[in-house]
Amino acid sequence: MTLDIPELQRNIALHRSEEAFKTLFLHFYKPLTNFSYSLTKSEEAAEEIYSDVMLKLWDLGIALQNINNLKSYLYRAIKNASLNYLEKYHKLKSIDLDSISVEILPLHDSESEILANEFNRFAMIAVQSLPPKCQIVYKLIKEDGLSYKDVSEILNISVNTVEGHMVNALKKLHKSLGIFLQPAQN
Amino acid sequence: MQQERFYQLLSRKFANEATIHELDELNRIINSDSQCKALYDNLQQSKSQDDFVIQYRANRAFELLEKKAFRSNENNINYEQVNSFAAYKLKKKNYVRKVFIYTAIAASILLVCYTLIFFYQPKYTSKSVLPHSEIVTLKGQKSKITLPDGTQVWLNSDSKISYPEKFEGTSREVQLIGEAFFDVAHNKNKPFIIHTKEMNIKVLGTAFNVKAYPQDNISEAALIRGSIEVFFPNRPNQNLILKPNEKLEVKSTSNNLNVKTTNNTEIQKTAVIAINPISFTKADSIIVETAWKSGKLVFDSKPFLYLVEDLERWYDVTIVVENEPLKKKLFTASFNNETIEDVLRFLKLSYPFNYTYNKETKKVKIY
Repeated sequence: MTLDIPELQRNIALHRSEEAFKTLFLHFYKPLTNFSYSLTKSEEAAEEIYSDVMLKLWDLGIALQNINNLKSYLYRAIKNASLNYLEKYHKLKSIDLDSISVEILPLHDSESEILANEFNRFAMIAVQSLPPKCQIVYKLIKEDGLSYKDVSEILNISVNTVEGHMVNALKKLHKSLGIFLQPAQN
Repeated sequence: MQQERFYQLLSRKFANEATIHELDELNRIINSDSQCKALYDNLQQSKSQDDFVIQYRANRAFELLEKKAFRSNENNINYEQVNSFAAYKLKKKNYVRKVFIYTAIAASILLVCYTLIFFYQPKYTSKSVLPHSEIVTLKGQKSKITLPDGTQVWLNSDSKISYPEKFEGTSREVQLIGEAFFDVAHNKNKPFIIHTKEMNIKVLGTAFNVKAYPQDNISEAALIRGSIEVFFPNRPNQNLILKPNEKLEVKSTSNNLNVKTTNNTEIQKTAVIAINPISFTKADSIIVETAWKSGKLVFDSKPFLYLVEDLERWYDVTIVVENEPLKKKLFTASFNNETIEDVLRFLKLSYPFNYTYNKETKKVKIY
């Protein structure tokens, strides 16, 4: 599962390896289309945005070598493209993450999978009542396994703020899930 | 106060930021506080998993991206943009074209030389290079071939087999892309070897079906009689012997070898290689794996997503499925000379869905 991303990056930049590009594309497809979907709330837009971002990545050519943290770079690119999309098609002015609603429901997980697990259903509702940035931080860390540093780069906030959001999310989640968690203990 | 610390530690754990001491501390809190433990356990479990639908969609998306890059470029060729994926693709296509032309020229010159040599030096014979034959079937086509050694091959749609015009040396070797049924002529001294992307199959004399489409996730070999040995190019010393009425499935993109047999109660989710019994349809006991040979299209509890791939090859159509729950539904059915519309109509009876079919573009949309 672990992928040598810098190695792929080198292969694409220096050797124009289509195979490396495809591997990278398939690897980030799920988390990044999900991320875009949580902002745009449109499946087609999410896919389109992801494809465009990846095409632009290829077009960077040798300059691709200069990107230090490709993962957070891609997330940032997806975030910006998604916000641009909202601005363009929803005529939203002065977009920032605090003012838009976020859809946290994962795009690709089949309905049955989510409904099968009662906890997931409750957790989903609980997460959805969090403030937008809190939701995004929770999702990026919990679902996508990103580090504090990655998230801080993506959302342009300090590492401490990232932890603050995450702690806040967990606290609220625990509170609203409390009733549900108790009977599970017996 | 301890609660606050618990959330902080949990947060760090999820972000992979926690030190060993912090993980230790987290464990202590979990063990002493049942409420904290409950949250921790539930969150740990609820991680969503990758499934085959996502892999499928990701691959689709990549194909679309390739097509898009291509199309935009043919309308508006911008050679200055040497870095763009589209330009790269086009350059490569031109390159392939050039190589093809040069190869063709070289080949015709060689052919003339050969003819001259052949006529002027009748005693001269060359044994080193044997010409290869290649049989290709398009979508919607099937073909039956008899190889030089008497082996009979039924080639299913969208497949390719290449073989030497004469089997010399110690083995008979052929290359297969796609699906074919083999009835191998018996010859103990010259094993028959089929090379596919994921596996190589060695036989002495037997009848069996091989399915190895490069775009499909699973390659399979189903044995009707005799015995075959399967070996894998990238996993030496992990050969398998297949007995009659057994079927081997190999999932591509994985490297570790796990074998699952039907007797094995412990079903491994990660199995990349599985041996299953050949399926017979309940009503008329047709062997599912080889039904295509006699013009029958048979499915036995097949997910709709994979069934679509077979339909696309069988009828030479493009099918787009925009119905998520449907993709995972299993279908069992048997068709004989029905049209694509008949097939869709019948499938619709067992699980309701809507579709549109455009005869001119050969496109089916299911929603």
